[in-house]
Amino acid sequence: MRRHALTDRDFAALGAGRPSPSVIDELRRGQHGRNLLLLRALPGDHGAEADLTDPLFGAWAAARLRDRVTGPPPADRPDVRFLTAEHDTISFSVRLEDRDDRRGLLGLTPSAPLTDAEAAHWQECFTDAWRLLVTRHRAAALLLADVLTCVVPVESDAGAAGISATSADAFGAVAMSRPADATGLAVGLLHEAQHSVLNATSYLFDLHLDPRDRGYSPWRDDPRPASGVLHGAYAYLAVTRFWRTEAGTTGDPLATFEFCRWREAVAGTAERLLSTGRLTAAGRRFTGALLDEVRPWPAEPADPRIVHLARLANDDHYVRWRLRNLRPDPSPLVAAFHRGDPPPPPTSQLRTDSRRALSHSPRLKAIHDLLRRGEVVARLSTGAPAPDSPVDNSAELSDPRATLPPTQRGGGGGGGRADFKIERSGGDGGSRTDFTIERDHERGARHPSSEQTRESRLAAVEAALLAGDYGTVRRAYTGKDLDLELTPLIIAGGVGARAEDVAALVRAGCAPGRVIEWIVG
Amino acid sequence: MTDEEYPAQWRSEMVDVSGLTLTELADLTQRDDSVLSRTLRRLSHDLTDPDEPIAGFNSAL
Repeated sequence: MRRHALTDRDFAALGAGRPSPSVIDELRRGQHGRNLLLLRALPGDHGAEADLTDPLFGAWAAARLRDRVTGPPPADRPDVRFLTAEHDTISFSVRLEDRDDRRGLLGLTPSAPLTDAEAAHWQECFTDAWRLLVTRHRAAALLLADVLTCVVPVESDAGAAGISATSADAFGAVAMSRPADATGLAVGLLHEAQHSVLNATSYLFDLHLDPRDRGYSPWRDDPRPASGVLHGAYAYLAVTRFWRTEAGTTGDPLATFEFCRWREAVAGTAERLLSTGRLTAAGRRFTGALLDEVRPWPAEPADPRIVHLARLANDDHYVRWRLRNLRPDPSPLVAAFHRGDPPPPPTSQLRTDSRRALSHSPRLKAIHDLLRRGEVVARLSTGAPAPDSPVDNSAELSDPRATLPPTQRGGGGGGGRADFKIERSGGDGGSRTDFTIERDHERGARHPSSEQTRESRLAAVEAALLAGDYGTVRRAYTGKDLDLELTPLIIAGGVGARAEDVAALVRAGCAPGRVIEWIVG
Repeated sequence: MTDEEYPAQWRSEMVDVSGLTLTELADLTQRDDSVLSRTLRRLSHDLTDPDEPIAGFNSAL
């Protein structure tokens, strides 16, 4: 019998996120055969009612064999909804599955059957998403139409604006919460289709020596297995490509921000995976092709102000992840501190109690809000503070390290200064909302000892950090009662120290001001 | 990416049974189960030790 196979050229194109239709056919045959084997293994005779091309059959059969469900598969129904769209003679239709009992097997809680108004919203977003994809992302649109066959609406997550999932048992199906708009639906479907493609690839080829090795993923707040990390990079390859095209076409700051943020994250993740030595030969080929695809993107020109914010967002996630999931050993650091020596390389271990967590960052939301309002403006090309700035951070500005985000320090890919001020929208005409960050920032600096609430002081420091105003960050921090978890985050985000070094020193009783001095030299 | 040399063709351990009917598959496994042994082992592993669903994409800005 024939074994599944791909030419090296096809396999590399698959890793690069550009599989040909014949490659998708091969993956689909693999999944069809998998469903046939599942059917054979099922107790009882379900041959008559089994549709092996239906992704929900695979999900149900696997669940049945794991004793997670009982009974026969549900019978066909006449009232199945479909999402359909056509643009520029290219049509696309997927099942919108809101009633099948098996729809809860994709990993998220399915929504109740849709009302007609809810279904109309899905259709409206789908129509516009398809027009967007066909018009500006045609290759991605064709791949999507080749892979995706079923969308299952699921309940929203309180901690995320939109959430979606893919099951390795259900090739071509995606579970997704109500889309906010057409763009959100388009990019969400591209993302999930990548997961389906990689799931089908992983069924045919072992990519990891140990897929359960856990580590950092830029897309989640919890430690992820190596297979999940690769999934993230592969899904975000398509997302990054989408935003790259959107940024180049529209110049939208939000699109540019997303592109800048993810190009670094995808490339960095692929590099880390390759450097672990924990990939098989097929895994190295696949991941190497992924990296080759994305590697040129970080060098592409973009507004340096947005590049700065993107790096800040990525650094913010990295630092928060480390704080959440790593447990440092403070003793060598404290010993070095008391000797006056430079800090030794920190050692740390994954916490055993880290729970599953979606990515959630108030700072990221603040950046999105700023970009959406278009209020981020360049300030310090001359090194001077803004006219109405209450903050004198000239000392920090004299130190080149202090004006660059952490990833730019230590050489490489830097360029000039990128420092920012969040500006008023002008006069007294702005709304309260427009001024929130600026006013909090000013208030925190002008009245550092006033009876502000703890939350507002933290918000002021966050705003100062976002604005690149590290002088205020330092002053607000020094000697204040900010909690230990936030403190190293602020310092690490602001001056580039490793968070666990700082946390260890502070917990060991070193005076915060001296810690900062030690960090910044 | 690397200097590593790769094969001209990547051959999976998995056998393509997609063109078979359920009856043909049963006949095949009755005659010689070994042809499917790796495929069945992989499937068995998937069933006993499944990955968690890949979830968490936040598509909204």
